[in-house]
Amino acid sequence: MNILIVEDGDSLRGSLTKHFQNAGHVVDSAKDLSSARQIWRLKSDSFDLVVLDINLPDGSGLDFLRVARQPDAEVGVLVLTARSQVSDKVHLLDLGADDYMTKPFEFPELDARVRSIQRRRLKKPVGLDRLPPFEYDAAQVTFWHQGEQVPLRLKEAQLLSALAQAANHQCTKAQLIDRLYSAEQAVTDNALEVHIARLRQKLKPYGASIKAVRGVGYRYDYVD
Amino acid sequence: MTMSTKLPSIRRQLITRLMTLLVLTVVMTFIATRQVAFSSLQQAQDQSLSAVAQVVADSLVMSDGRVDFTLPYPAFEVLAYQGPEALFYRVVGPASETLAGYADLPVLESNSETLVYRDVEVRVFQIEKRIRNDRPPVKVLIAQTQDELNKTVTSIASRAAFGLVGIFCLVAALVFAALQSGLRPLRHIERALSERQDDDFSSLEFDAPAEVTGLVNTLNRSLEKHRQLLDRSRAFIAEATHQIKTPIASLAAEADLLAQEAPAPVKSEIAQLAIHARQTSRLAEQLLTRAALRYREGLQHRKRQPIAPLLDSVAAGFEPLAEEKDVAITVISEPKNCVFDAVTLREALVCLLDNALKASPNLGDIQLHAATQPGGLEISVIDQGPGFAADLPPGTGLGLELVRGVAEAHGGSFTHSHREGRTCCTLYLPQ
Repeated sequence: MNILIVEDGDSLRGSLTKHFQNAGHVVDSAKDLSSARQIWRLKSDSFDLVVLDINLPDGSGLDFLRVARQPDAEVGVLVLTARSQVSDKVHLLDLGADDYMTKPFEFPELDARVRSIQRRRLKKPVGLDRLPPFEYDAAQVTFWHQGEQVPLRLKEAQLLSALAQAANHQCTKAQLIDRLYSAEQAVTDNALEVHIARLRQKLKPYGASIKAVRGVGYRYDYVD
Repeated sequence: MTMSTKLPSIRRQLITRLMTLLVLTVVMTFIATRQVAFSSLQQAQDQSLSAVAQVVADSLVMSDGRVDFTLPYPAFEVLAYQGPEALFYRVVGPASETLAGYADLPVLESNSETLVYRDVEVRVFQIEKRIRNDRPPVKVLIAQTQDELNKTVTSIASRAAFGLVGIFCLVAALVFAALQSGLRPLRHIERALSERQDDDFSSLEFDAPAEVTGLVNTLNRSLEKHRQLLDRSRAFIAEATHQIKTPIASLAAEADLLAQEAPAPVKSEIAQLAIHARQTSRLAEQLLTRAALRYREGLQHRKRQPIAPLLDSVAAGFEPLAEEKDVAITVISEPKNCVFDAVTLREALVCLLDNALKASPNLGDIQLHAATQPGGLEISVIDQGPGFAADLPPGTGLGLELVRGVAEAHGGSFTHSHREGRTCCTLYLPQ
């Protein structure tokens, strides 16, 4: 992923850059509004994510947010704010930020929010598989229904794709657990049941369902 | 805050003063008119009485050593014009003997006099005529009652007084109309101020008459000062937060990175450093949020609005973190429109949901539930965590105090309980 970090604190900017680079991302960084604009002019198309501080020495990050959030831009914006000005948070989202975090943050939370933005701001899928009533984007593990992304968590999307793509739309519990978790993660049947129950709730509005098959596992049902 | 009215209303003051003035003027007019009318009517009566007395006196003659005269009845007719007054006369001879008329009508020292005769007030006129130089003069007295005269005088004075009352009423009506239109700009100001939002400090803009321009300008200057004060206070809160939190954020982030690379013996100590830095920051955040909220408490931001979008948006903010822990956040919102301040309620719910998510076990469920209760709205955050221990984790106490502050600012309450493996935090907001 290509990430632009706009943060005036040298040390925090350095830590963020290092953190994202360690995770294998390509990072550009700017210490103020003018250098952020300069970088943006040169390569705005290449960025997937902007991590943006609001209090900058030469102005407000909100100004840059307006630039980055132009209608054709597909970049995600995560705002970092140290402000306790309570109404700001609502305002930020109104201006088109995808999410915000108040300083200081924990890197696991930062990663979680970045992943979430990425899943919500996916590039329009090409070459979808038909899994009625949905269309499935295997590359990004997302489901679509009549052009709208179905709001599934990653694990739920993985479960649904496993079931919908399986022969007879049927999988064993072990198969499903393997799909969700790596070998070294200790997982119980209960975890699987919880995810299945939540997925069932989310499928209801689409007329699809998941049935338990005694002695086997689960089966995906959809009657057109 | 309502100011009690300590001074009587301008209208009442005006009525009191006008009434006093009216009574004084009417009484004075009545007395003065009465006096003028009385003196002029009495003058006329005196002239008539004098004329009649003169006619009687002219007819006096000496005949055979006796005083002889005729009563000129046509002359009495003149007096009849005065109205149905009773008439008395007396002719007193040179030896003070009564020659004709009422013998008990007293002789006067002067020409005319008002006196009580036979229990009524009469005006008496007396002239003297010397028939023979060697004898004392003959006296002719003509007297007339004054009832009708008094009635006429009272009637004239009353009419003058009534006329004055009429004019006074007209003037009073004009004064009240002027007062009404004079107070209109003040009512305009009152309405303009009471209809605006509590944090609207913009200038009052309308055409005020010259007398009120000073007041409007003073109000506008005061509003402007308040706005500047508010801006400074907001800027201070934002600046203070930024100044405190950015270095702490750097400290925490650097400690995180250092901990990843550090050798095992110091790894956990560096990780602890990051945890402490975040706790410090969380405290600072909550103190500053509380300061910002306390500042809002004085203002009335509560309004009727849909509750579901607020709950959905708060829950959506936690979704990425909840997904990491496989925790589901369910929003159940029964009521539609409720009265609340969206900004402070959001802060309270963020605080509760943050606690709930931290306390929730993996795969746990959190419910954000709004329900209508008798007289109010109840919002609960229910999680499967262990509840609040006696020694709360750092920051939690302050956070709960913030939540309680928000509930109380809404005139409501905050309670929490732990039962059957579920912790329930409830905000009750009266509606």
